[in-house]
Amino acid sequence: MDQILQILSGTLVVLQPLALLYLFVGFFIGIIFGALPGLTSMLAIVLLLPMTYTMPMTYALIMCMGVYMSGIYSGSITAITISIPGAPSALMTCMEGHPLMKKGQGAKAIGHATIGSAIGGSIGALLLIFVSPLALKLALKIRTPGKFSLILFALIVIVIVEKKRTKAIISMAFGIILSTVGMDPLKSVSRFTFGNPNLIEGIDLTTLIIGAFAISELFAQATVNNTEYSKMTSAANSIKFKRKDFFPPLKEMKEIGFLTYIKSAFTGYLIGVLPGAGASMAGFVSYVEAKRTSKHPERFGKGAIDGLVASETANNAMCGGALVPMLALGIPGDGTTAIILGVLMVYGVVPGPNLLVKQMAVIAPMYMALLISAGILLPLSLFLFGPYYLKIVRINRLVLYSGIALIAILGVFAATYSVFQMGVALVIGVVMYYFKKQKYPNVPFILAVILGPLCEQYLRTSLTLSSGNPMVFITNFDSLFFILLTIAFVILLPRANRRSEALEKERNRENCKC
Amino acid sequence: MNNIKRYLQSKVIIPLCVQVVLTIYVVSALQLAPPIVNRMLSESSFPFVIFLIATPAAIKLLFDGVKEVKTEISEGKEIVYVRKSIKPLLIVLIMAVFILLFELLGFSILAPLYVFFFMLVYDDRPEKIVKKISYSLLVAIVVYVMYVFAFDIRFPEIWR
Repeated sequence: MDQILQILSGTLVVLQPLALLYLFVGFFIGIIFGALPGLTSMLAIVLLLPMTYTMPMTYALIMCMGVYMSGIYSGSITAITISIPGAPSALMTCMEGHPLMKKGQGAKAIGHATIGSAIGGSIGALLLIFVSPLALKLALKIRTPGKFSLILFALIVIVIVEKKRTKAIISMAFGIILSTVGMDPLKSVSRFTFGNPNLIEGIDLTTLIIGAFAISELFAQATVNNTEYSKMTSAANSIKFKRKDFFPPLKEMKEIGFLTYIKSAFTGYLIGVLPGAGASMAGFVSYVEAKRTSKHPERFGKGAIDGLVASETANNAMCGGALVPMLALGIPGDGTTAIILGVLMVYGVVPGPNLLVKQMAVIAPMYMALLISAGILLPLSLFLFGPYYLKIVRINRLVLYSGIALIAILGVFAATYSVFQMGVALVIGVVMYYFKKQKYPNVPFILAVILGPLCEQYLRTSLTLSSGNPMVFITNFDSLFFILLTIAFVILLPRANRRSEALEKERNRENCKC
Repeated sequence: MNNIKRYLQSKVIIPLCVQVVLTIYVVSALQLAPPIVNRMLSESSFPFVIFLIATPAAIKLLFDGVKEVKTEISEGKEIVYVRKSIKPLLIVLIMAVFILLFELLGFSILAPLYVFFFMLVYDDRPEKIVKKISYSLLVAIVVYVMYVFAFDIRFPEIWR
């Protein structure tokens, strides 16, 4: 009852004019960053991170929710129109959406993607609201050894879900190495400072995040040929759609089936709960399932609307799922929630059961903001701004990236007031650029930065409490449960990965034949 | 000599550098204390575990990289010298100069120059200079208003 009252009061907070303004600002930033190839909603939140320092936390979280939901959705806009997924999560949308565009049905495809995203996002947010009390009850049962085993589970799963696991281990190790610089969490000893007093307090989270994600991206974008980029996007500039073109016929929605929407939303939500899995996997798994159960699987790869809808519904439902482990246990479900966790940490808020019990008033508006962001996708995208979304790629690329370059480097200064940390961000950016070029995944890096220090703290505390006896991880039921879960995932996930890779290869072969 | 040159590729160099970093990391950790002191984990224990986990991965990547290059050599593949873009290097230089001079010259002088040079590097040809100068000033003003007035951040200035 208490929680329902707090959710209701959270609704009132989000409906205040200033909060709504932040939500809309976040929403449109998300649309722009999600729609432009190379930019992601994660990068948008990275750049917003230093600005949130001076904002009330509730507004910062509301804005982040707007960015998160719209950023995942808007990846579909360029995926459909110019066959370049604005966000990695829109890869499957691209497979089905662009063939529709070629048939002159691009606006209708965007309409279907919008409806799917709105339904998926809303179901995901509702499940988050109703499932988090259960997650809270479970989280309260986890003690220190269990917390260590849970983090270990998360770190191992993050590595397993990546295709290049060895590289994921290196990426994760690099994140942990950087997070261990500074004072030891349990003793007053400074580590890896090499006599530099600037490093005694460690490397700031904002420095790490901006360096790894924003600055490295600026180097990568410098290699993109501007003329070629303009040519690629000119196709979208020449498209003219009327508002009514965005409304898909009811007959088609009936053909897709209510079950496809629901099933994809639940799949996306559950994949979101899994640490490290993310929107791309949610979209992919739902797409494969839609193909498996479709009455016309032969249409897939040539403009199957049910495939497009399944992918878009799932990747937006993932948003709600990814927030469950982040809020209840402090373990982010994907890269974006890892940075949202960073926003919470900036305010000194420690996620976990206590957050949901004692500070529900802070979190409730965030839940509602996620739900409202999903809800406003329909009126804003279908009725108002749909035709204008296509013009986002017209934004002058030089101005945009130069602006991002200034915001990124000043963001580090704004967060730390330290020129030294700006230099550290640059060095991290250079390293991550080379890692990215060699296809080292970056999600394990960010999760390691956040979970690494906690992992060390819980490991050492558990062993101190048990006088150095490692059996403490087996004799505690909660810890044993996560260890068994880790073993199960280590055995099962690679099999599932192999199956999905085989399906992907098969699909690529079919596409080649076409 | 030519063969040695062929090994100087990112797929070999990166895991090698990672291994060097890991070694420095573990050595400096072990200088603080042994991993276990009085049956308790010390401040070097966690870095030691990270070293133990990441080292086999780095060695595997190094061997994979070396194996790939060896295969390329044995198949007699010609080295294809792709002209690498110097743009990322220029971006690093612009950022480094900006960081070095930031406290000395301050936001108002450096920010428009920083944005202008970024635009020059991002563009394929140095053209429409006047347009670029106006955009640089505009971007600097917008960012200044956003940070200083909206978020109350104080940047260094030459006159302060």
